[in-house]
Amino acid sequence: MEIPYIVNARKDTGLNNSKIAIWLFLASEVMLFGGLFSSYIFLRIYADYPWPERTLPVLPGLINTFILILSSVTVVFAWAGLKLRNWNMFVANMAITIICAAVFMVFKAKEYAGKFHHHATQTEDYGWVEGHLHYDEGDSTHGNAYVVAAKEVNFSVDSTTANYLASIIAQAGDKLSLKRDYVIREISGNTFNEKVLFEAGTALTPEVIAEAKQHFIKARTHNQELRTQLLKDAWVIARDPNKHNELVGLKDFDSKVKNTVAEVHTALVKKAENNNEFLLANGNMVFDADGAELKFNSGWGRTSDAKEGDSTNLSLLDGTVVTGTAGDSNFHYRYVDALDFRHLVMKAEAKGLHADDLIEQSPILALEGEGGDKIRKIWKTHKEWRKHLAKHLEGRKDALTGEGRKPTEIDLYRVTWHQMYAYAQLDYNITEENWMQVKDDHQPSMIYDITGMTKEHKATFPKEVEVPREKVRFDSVFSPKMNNYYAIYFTITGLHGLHVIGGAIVLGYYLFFGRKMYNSNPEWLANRVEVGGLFWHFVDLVWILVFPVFYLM
Amino acid sequence: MADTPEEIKSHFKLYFTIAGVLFVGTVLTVLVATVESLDIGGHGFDTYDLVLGLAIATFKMCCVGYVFMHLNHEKKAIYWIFFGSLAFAAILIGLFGWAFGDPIIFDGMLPAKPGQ
Repeated sequence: MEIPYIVNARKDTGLNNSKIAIWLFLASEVMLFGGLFSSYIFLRIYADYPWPERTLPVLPGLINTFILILSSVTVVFAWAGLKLRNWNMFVANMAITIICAAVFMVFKAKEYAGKFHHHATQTEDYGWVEGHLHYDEGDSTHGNAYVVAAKEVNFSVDSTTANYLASIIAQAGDKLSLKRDYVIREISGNTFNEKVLFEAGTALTPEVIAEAKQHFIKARTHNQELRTQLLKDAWVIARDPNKHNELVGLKDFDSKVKNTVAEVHTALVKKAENNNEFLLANGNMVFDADGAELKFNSGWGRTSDAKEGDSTNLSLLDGTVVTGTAGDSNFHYRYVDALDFRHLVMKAEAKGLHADDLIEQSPILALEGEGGDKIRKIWKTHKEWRKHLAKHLEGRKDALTGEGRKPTEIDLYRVTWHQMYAYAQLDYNITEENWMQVKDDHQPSMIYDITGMTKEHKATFPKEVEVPREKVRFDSVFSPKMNNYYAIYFTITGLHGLHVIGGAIVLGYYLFFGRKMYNSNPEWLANRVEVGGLFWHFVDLVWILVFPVFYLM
Repeated sequence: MADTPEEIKSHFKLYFTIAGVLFVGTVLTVLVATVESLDIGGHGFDTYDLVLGLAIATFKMCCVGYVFMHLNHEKKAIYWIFFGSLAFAAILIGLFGWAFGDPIIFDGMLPAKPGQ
């Protein structure tokens, strides 16, 4: 079937149908991204936490902007090549466009990877520690674990997951033994026999749990079917006028019957229970753990109390409950690369409290060990540095208001890794002469975007820092879980990235499979490339807005 | 729409010029945000940076739309579709703003006055 008006224009609109279609699609895209940007605006305006402004690495974003601008130009020239019937011009420009898309996505992937490996912990007073958690080879908890000296482990046999069970067995399989006999009831003809499936003292194995699960599900199914059958029997009995003639002819027959059925059903169930017709549906198996130390990734569950030495119940997501005494469940940072007290300050000011006094009492400045000592030293140095900055800015008048400039909240209450490194270079001694050597971090970093953290930088950071879990209010990597900023950042940039991939696939199709169409109907291919190019320009258009909004504001 | 080879070729210079404008606009936005001596208004990010940054971005977006997307010589139907959607997006944002500023919602969260 021939599709009408894909090359020639319709008389009424003066346009071919493909073009109308892509513009209608772009209109829907405008609404989609308009909605997302409006979300961004209102999330930012009404944020009840310090908005992470100018927090993304600028240079990769800048390079990506250049890449998309370049690709916008090349896609226009690819279209022009087809209009001029110059196949080589089309191929060269379209190939550059596709390469640009690939490079763009590589930068994006690198940026995302950095976010997912960077950790932050918020203490109970709203102070933040950022850095990288400890990573022991073979330890999947990455320094963020619940540790329990387990007295007993209670498995929900029908929901126990293989990897949780394997972890428990690997850590303490030889110490775990069944606490009491696991008894089942079997049907043999019309008789029901009880037997011990597993005796107390049985060692924990996946097979034990699997067999118990099988019996539990069988028993549960049998019991449900029996209850349903007894309910059906109850209805038959209740509707028998010989036994319940008081129900016949009543106006509110239904409700009376329901009450009667419920009573009859209860009686039938009781009778069946007395006759042992129900099977034993024991969904839990409790194992003695003999004080075995069990360690779990904190993402696997929640603990009732993580303070070392306290009694605790650790509930894993699959329903397994570990009861015992909390061990060392603290956050173990390999190194800390930023401190941030802005949220604390925001909360303190809202209550009319003196922020600097509260910072001095923060658990972050009371952390133990060498790492804690270094954090205190860094904060002390930072306070000295910001005095010089404030004095310097006071002398620099704002051209528009004529007033002296003031340090921002970021200057005052956030210490970045650039500053930590600079403070170490100055031997934590800030003077009138040297303070300007410290990077003023109110501006996005450009140089460090290229170099990144080096071993030399890392050597100056507080290392092996242990944050007590009972002092922690919240922790996360820099994922959408962190806050609304990262949620909207990943939504918008992720959706934009998907557009880049989708656009590259379409344009790549024209590049690799367009020759045949070019030979038979070059104008048709030119129209297709124009339509694909319009989408590509829209992708560029969105990025032109994304870049300043997320990277520079 | 440029359709003849001569017309298409005559636009090449314009495409390069616009690309240059986009590069320069981008660099300017970054410089204003990263070089303190070029920072207008107060220290760090503030309303002036916001207005300037968005103004440059809007100008760049107009260049892309006007030249690369050929909105400088399109048919009426395209203008209605595209600018209609832009207008609806603006109305959407305006409605959100209106809803957020609605005193009925937020007064309802305050404690009742004595006697009420």
